[in-house]
Amino acid sequence: MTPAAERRTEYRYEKRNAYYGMDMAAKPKPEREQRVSRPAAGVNPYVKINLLIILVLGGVMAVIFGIMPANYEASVQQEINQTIKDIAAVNVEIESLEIQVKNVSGISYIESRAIEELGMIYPAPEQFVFITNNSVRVNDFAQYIKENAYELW
Amino acid sequence: MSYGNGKRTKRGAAAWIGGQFNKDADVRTQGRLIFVFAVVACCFAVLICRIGWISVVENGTYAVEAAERQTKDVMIPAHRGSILDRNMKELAISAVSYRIWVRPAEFGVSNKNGVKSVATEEIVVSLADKLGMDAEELRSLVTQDKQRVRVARDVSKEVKDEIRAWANEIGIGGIEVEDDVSRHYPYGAFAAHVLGSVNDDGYGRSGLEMKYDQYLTGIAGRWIKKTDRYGDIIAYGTEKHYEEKNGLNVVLTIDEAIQHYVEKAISNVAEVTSAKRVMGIVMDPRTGEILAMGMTPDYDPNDPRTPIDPLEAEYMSTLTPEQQVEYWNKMWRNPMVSDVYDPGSTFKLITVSAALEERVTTPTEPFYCSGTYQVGKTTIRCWRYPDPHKDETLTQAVGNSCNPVMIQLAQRMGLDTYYDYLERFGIRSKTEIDYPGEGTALVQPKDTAGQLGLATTSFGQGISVTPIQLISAVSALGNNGKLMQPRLVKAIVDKDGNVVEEFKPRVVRQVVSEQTAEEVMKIMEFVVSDSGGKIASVPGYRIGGKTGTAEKLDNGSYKTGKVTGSMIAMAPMEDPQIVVLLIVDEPQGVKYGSTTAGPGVKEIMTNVLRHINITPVYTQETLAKMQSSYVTVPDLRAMNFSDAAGLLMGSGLNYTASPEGSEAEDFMVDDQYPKPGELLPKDGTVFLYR
Repeated sequence: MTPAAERRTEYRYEKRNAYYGMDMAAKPKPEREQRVSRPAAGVNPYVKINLLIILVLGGVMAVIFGIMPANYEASVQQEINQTIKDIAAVNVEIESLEIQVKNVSGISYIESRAIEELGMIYPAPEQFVFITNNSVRVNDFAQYIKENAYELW
Repeated sequence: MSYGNGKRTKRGAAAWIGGQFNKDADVRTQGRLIFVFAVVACCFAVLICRIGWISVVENGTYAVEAAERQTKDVMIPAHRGSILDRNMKELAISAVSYRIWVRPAEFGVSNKNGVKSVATEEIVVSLADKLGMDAEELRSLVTQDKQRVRVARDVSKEVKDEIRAWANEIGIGGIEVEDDVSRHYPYGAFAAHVLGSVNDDGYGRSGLEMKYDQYLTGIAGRWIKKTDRYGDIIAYGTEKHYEEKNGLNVVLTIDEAIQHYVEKAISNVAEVTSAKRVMGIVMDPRTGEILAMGMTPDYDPNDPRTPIDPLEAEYMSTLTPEQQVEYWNKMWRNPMVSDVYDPGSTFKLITVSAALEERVTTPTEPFYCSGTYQVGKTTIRCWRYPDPHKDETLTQAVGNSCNPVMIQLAQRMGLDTYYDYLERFGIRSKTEIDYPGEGTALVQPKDTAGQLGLATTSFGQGISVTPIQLISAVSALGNNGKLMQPRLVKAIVDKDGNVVEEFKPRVVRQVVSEQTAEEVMKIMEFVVSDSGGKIASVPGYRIGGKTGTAEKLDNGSYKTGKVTGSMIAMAPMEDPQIVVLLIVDEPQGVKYGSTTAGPGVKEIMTNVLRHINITPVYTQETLAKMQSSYVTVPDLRAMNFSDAAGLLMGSGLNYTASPEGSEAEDFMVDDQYPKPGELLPKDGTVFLYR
């Protein structure tokens, strides 16, 4: 027997001793060891598929619970930013229009337009109607002025 | 040693063959997996180390750098409060505008490699054109050795959008836009000398803008936020927002309508008299409230550095920078509050009031005017010399504006008493009007005035007062002798109109008794109804007043031919509600106060009394006179324009075709104003509508 064969023989004995014990009586096989005979998890294609599915599922879950909310929040924030800009722009537009309205609301402007463009004139001082405490309340004040302004005499 | 059939599968490591597991392939696959794992693990280890290095060792550096890059501290400009008239109409408002900044180092177009080129002349010219600037000026700004240069402010949204679109289209970098708040005066030059203006930073520079700056200026807010490279807020970023506090609104005593009437009147007077300047003030004698204050020439506070008159603007452009500053200060100055003028005969009301109060005379006391009056060795002439007024009562003497009578009254009172009345009427002190830079009268010192000084002062020569001093003093007569502190501001309110602070009328002192005030008012009414101020009378209203013409002191001489014509008037005399002071500085042609300022006062009185709803009371005589001067308007409708015009001319009426230019054709008259049958004053105008 070659030395190598001897070493292998010794090794077998050691393994047998470990398995059967020194009395060579068979030891009951532990439950856990009985199930050890399955192939390595990463290697079995079915396991790989399972792992892949788990990984995909995990990824999907990560996307659903991690990335998507973050993305959603960013998207909402972007919308808020845009809305803030839109509101600011609208406010500026409103202020700009208000100024334009006020520019043409002054008495001087209205008077010049009325006289120069519409040909309106001021009534003579004697043609004015004055409102006093004794004045009669009328429903159509404009009509009342129209009817009475020229009937002073 | 082999397992199974000993054949290698094509897939190598996937070695489940014939229901047996290929252990050889398994070992190789395991080896590869271990290798891959090791590589990945190494990568992760490196990454973790790097992350650890960044987050632990270099944490401080990167944290600071990140904070600097992401944190944006944005100033939120506060809106300056509005200035409102007494009816809450906005005369000065603030609105969002934009400032345009340029980063000289980055200003230009980038090429494909991202390298910026210096802005070409074409770009500078184009930007200057959009901003309404001089290209040279812009060029000098954008070539400065600074990180950031402000090139324009008060830029409108339209211009800002145009610049942004243009810059994006061409790919110009280095232009930045910043929010700003700018001041707007919707009615342009309206009440410009009252409102004042603001400087480039939005703070009050003159007028009420300066006086009430502390109320009008708000407190800018801040927005500290984490932003991305585009300035947008990033998700999960922290932000702090300190809200801006807008300024409060200032409510004036000014009435927009009355101010309009005054500005129209002084403009007409300036046109007729070709005066250097015309000033007008309307005050409520009961409260001291200034209802209107205006002058010509004025300026537009929207563009306060450019005179409205194109000729003046051209002249100003020829001045040196120092001279321009001087010009602007003069233009922005309000002479009605800050400067003095010679009141002339309008000051006689003060002398008469003092004399009546001291009981040294009565309204009916007879006097004699010989045309001159001797004061010591000096002979003082009456303005009527050599055609004297002769016999006259005190009332008539005021109507005649007789100088010798005034001298006699002053002499009866004596220097001390007279100066005491100047003090009482507020002539020797400031009125404390709520306006910056108030001036005060130039009165001859009592110690040196002597009898001659007393004499000349009594008829308004040798004394200079501010217009606001004179109108306040005369207003006391219309307020039962109580001198009121003049005011331009009624209240400070917040944006919802809640009163934050109210400025109530303040009685300074009782200057003269009610009886004296009443007597002087009767004299004033006599002046307008039967004497020198008749030109200012308005049918249906009781108006009192006094005119004045004063020679101007120029280079130490009164003999330059320059005069100041003025008139002060009050109405309605049964219950005075307005006092008007109109000053015509250096009128050309006829120079008397009655002929220069009188028509302006009449115009103001006519419009303002109607505006404040004072009903005219016509006597039968007045009515008859008015009716006799009217013509009944004929029916011109459906007539040819030429026929209608002929008919009107025959009736002593004028015509105007409307719309303008219609008279070129002989159109059919569609309508007319006034309507047929109405009464129109002779020489009145009938509008013929096409």
